[in-house]
Amino acid sequence: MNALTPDRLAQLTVKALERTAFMMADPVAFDPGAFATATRCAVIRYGGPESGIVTLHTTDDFLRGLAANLLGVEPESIDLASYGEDAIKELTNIVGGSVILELGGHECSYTLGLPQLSTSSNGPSQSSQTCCLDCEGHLLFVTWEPVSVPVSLAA
Amino acid sequence: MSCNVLIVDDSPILRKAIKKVVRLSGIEDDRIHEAGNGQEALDILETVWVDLVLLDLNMPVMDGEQFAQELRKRPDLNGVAVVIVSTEANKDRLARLRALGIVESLHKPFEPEDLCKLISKVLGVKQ
Repeated sequence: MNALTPDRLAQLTVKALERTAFMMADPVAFDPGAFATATRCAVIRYGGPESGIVTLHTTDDFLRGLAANLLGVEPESIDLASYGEDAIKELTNIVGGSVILELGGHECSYTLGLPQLSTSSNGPSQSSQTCCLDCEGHLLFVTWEPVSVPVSLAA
Repeated sequence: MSCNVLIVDDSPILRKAIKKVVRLSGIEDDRIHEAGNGQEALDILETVWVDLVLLDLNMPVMDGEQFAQELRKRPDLNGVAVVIVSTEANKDRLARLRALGIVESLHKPFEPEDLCKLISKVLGVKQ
């Protein structure tokens, strides 16, 4: 299995943002204080040769920007409870897909679950890799956590 | 282009984003249909002829692979072109889909122009 570094995780997320929502992002240093303000969270689990979880944490403002770019409308017009939450789930799905492709390559035998919203406010664990991105003024935290026991992929 | 396209994806926002790209391919707005899962897609196909299905795989209710299996069982719908637009990377699942005759796929995240090219290629082959 390939290992994912925070730098590579950041590269995969930047590519997902650019291609999906035409948004530019740059890696920045992880700031625990800023992480605490990122109250929007979505997770996706994968299974296969190894299991793991990919988690995105961000803010309402990032969700508005992401959804607005996907739809081609102004951020102020975005309803967070519908399009905002759908946007973070879809970005999580896409980053999760990139992670399993990175881990498995073209002979990939990983299976991805469905993305889910989460209320988790726990910081990254010691076994995880986390990157932090500044995306047009808003912070996005992406965590990849391999797990030693198979995870349920059911939504 | 006088072709009907069906976008099947459980994410409403991604359906809208894909719809924008399909419009750029020259498909008129009223010829672009949307479904949130495989079952909804089959229901639409009962009433509308569709030339191309852009199919996500990981969806609730009926996933994309189950939809493709159902589609291939139906003689009246067997000729509908299907392009996978998904995060799916599992080689076994993609092989099962190829066995159903679904050879074109686009891995998310994709460049919009790649989807445009694929739509033109698939619909061009059919015309």
